[in-house]
Amino acid sequence: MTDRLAALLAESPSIERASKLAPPTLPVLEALTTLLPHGGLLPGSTTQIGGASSTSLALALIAKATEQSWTAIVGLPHIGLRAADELGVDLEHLVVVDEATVDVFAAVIDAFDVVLACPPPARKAPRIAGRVRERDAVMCVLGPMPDADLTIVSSNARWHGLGDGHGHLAARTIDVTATGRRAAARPKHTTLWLPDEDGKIRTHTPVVRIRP
Amino acid sequence: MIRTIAIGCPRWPIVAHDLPSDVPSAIFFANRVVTASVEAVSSGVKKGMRRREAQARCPEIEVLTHDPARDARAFEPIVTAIETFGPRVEVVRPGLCVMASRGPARYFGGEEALKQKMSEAVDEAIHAFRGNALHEDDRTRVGIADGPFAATLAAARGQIIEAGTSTDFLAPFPIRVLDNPALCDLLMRLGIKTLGAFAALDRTRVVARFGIDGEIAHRLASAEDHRLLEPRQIPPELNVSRELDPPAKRVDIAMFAGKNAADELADKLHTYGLACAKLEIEAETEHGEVRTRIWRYSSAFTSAAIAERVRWQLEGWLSDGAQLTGGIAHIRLRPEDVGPATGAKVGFWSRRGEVSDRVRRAIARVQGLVGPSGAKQAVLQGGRHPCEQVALVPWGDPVEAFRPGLPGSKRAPGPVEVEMPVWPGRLPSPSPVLVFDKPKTTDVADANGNTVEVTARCVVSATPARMRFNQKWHDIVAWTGPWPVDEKWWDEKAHRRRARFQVSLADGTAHLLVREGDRWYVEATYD
Repeated sequence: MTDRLAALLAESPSIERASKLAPPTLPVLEALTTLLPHGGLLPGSTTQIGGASSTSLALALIAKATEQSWTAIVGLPHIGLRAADELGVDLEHLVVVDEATVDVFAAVIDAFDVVLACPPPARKAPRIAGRVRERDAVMCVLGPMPDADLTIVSSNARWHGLGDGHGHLAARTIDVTATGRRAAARPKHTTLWLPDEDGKIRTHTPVVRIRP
Repeated sequence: MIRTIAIGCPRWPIVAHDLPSDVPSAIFFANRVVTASVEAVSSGVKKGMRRREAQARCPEIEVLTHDPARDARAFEPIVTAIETFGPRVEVVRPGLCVMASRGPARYFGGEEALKQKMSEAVDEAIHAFRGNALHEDDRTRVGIADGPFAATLAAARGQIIEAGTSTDFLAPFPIRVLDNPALCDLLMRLGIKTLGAFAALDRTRVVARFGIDGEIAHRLASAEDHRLLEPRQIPPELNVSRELDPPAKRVDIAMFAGKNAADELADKLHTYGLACAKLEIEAETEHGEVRTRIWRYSSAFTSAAIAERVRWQLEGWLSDGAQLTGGIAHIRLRPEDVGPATGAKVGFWSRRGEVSDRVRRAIARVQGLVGPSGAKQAVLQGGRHPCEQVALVPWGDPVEAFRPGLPGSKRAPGPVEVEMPVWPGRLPSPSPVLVFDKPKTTDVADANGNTVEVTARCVVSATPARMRFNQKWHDIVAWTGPWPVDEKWWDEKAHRRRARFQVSLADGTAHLLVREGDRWYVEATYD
């Protein structure tokens, strides 16, 4: 019976199992697709981002989505929006709210597709996460978020271009690890240029020297 | 076509300021000239010029701020004077009114006589509140033609256009008088440079290509009154009124009810799928005095535009000019020229038109929670420091940069391409991701633990080896600098002299440090 079913599936490629169908996601930059369980930001999910250079990483994560979706930055008054623009965030679809009360979270999650926020108060976090799920928003938290669907941690940041009294910060490489629940249970690693010398974000492929 | 008289006070915002006529002055908004006085124009100051350039051409220029509410308030006595000629004066904007002229012209013995009497009466009203004499070129201009648009242009030249000849009168005007920059720019590039050339096009095709915006513009160019697009009987339930108990003598208190009424009117119009191009505002005082004023709008009134007109009008009445003896006890809003809302606001070129209602409501809610400046939009602008390179504008305000010159790009946004100089001395990209508007104090030490100093000639005393950040000392692995910044040296108070450094630490973070006076600060972090 199983053989016949397999044969049937092989014959007609249009029949796929529901579990195999990718859920609709918001797009991310190409270099980040391998990190995310569905190759994009899953509506209704929360992501916590930590480690050195977490702010750049968070902005890079939402950059592609801001081209189509309205985005709110909540409770992060120090974010350099010039840098956000350089990382690809579309400022025309961006609203910045400096206060981060529970009411603000609720209002913003109800309407915006993408929310980049400071960690909410720990006691309120489950309610906020529930609201995100219910409203199909994408919430990225810069810092700890209990029971986040996805945890992205960057480490081992190295800056290039700076010398001993000369040059300027030009490029950076970081190692990124993503773990999470369900489909993201197996950790994924990558090394990124964030940004490279042309200001682009791409995967860092180590140069392998082959002996002649 | 209704014979219309237009009464224009040239450079009204300047006239309202009551400066002596030989003092050059200009109104600035977002660092650009909005209106310049006759004296300033003769020194070469032009509309749209940057402030510094205007000051270079005319060093003694008086810089005035843009305040439409004040202009409207000052205009109120003028409108009262115009009202003595006939009913239903329509204010287009502070400094410009239109009114149907057939009745008054008959009463005063012809259009020429009406024009004469009108300009005398208005000049007198202006003299009554101005201490200084009016410049010869700023005298009131009156014009009569078919329809408000032609009358306004006739007023600028002080002409009376014979009935039925307004189309010929309009034909040689350049297309930009249509006051729709996006459309005008496109038409110019298509080679249509005058109203005549535009009016010669087939209207059906204009509508097909440019939508409702194009139709309105085409009607204007053909001297047809665009506000009569399918006029309708106005159902009485559209009127909105508010009682004020106790009566309000202050604008802010009256505006509570005013704003509320404006929102309700906008809501009602929206429910019925209607839009209005004219708005009658009526206020009644506790002593029974009634004041009425009609405002018209270029296209359909939005909720914000209604509230703005109501505020201007209430301010005008509650200032001394209207001579009310008591507070306002009743406000009534009546929409006029109501037609189906065809979405005239959004053109094909609109990029910002796509704000969904959901987002708009959420932002209104956030603004209700944390104040109107709580929700902000960012726009790039020129500047050296990343903190200066972004202007944060409260949501709802026009999204305009305060300073020209985009960081790192050579072109200004918008349909008209202007070569923009790049700001010299700006930080190289990538820009820091965390920017502290109040820099944090820190210490930077050399290998022996002595503080690193920077001399007046920008010589660093020793190689920086360690810095303190978040109460801990970190080893500096690489550094660069000093990058001297000497800003506003011509202004004693605003003068700042700083030296910037970039450092990267052993833990992989990098910071932008600044030495100012004899202190070290962390200005930004490359997180």
